[in-house]
Amino acid sequence: MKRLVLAVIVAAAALALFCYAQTNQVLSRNAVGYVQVSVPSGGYALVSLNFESLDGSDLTIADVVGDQLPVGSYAHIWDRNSKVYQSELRTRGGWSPGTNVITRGVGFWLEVPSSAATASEHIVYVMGEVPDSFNQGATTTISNVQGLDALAYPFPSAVVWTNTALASNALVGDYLHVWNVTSQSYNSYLKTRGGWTTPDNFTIEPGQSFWFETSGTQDWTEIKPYTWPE
Amino acid sequence: MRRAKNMSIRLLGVMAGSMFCASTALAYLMVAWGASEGFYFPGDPSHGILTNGETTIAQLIFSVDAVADPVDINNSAGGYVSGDDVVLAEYTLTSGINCDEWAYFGAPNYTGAYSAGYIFGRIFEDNTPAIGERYFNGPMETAEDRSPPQSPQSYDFNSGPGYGDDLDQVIPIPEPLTAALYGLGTLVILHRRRKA
Repeated sequence: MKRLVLAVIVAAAALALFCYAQTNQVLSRNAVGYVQVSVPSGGYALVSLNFESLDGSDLTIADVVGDQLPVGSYAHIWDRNSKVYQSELRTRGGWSPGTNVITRGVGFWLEVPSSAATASEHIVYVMGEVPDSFNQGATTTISNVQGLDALAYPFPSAVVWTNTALASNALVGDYLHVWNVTSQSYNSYLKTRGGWTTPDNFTIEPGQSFWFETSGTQDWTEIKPYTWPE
Repeated sequence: MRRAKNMSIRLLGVMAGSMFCASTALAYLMVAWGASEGFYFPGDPSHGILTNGETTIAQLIFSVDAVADPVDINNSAGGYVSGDDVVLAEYTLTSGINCDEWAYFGAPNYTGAYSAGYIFGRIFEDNTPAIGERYFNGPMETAEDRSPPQSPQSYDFNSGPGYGDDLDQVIPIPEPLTAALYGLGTLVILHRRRKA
């Protein structure tokens, strides 16, 4: 009898430990985050998605932006393979055509034409599941970066440009074009023999995208820069 | 019902952008320009063109006919260009400040109205060009109409890896006819002043 009781206690303890471990794992999953971006009236913002979908499905502009922009707004989504834009128009009935997929680490424009604007500035919260080791692995790779590409740091964290593998592996003569949403113009930086012409500690912010123009080809791999979610 | 619009971008001179934006009807020449490798004097690729503290001028130039016309030393007000060339932007380089002896650099972007033509870069051996001094013309490239959301047209003075390019051009003595006309003009002015 004593043995049976002991066995039951051990089994219960093991089950509790298992459940605790499972609970711990669950706690580290499905961390939801958001990034705030703004789009001026009559202007553009070059933004990105740093998140995954919560249910593993593909994300479209309806999922990412929804009705946060007024009717008449546009999203121009960079198609990395064919090197063209796929555009979406916000209609009264939603985004049209609404089928273009937005991928983490790839840039897209948000445009609010003056004729569509309902305010001088439109705030958009881009939301989703924070990439973690369970759903995405410890690293993220954006493969086959070549020619001109609208890219973004694939995690919801700020990063010093020269600390990215993309910058390190760039060739002399490659360009970085960064959109300034305030001045509605580009600042461009060249990789010279002496390094990048960016200012010291030039940072790519969460939600920000940029153009990378290269004469080479590389697979851009970054390690998840945060410890939680694991 | 309005249609969703599709736009395309031509890459690196291969992909041409076409877009139909209600909000941006203007045509822009938007150029990111710089030199990735730097410059040296002919026969001396082990040293750059500047010593510490020296200054020189880099220019982004527009040409209608795709010909880099020779430097006109008498046209300092116009940036020393001649023929149909027009200086779009100048960038002053000082070794030890915004470049090193090789004078590789990334200049602030140029943005202006677009018109059909070509662009090329020019860099002098110093900031006071004089007859007999050297300069370099970068490759001639077709100017592209780039308006947001397109990316800027990128322009690199240096076209390949290595130690950069040598300053292979020499600022010429103004041709005799031009010099004669200048002399004649001076005489006319003096004559008028005497009369007055």
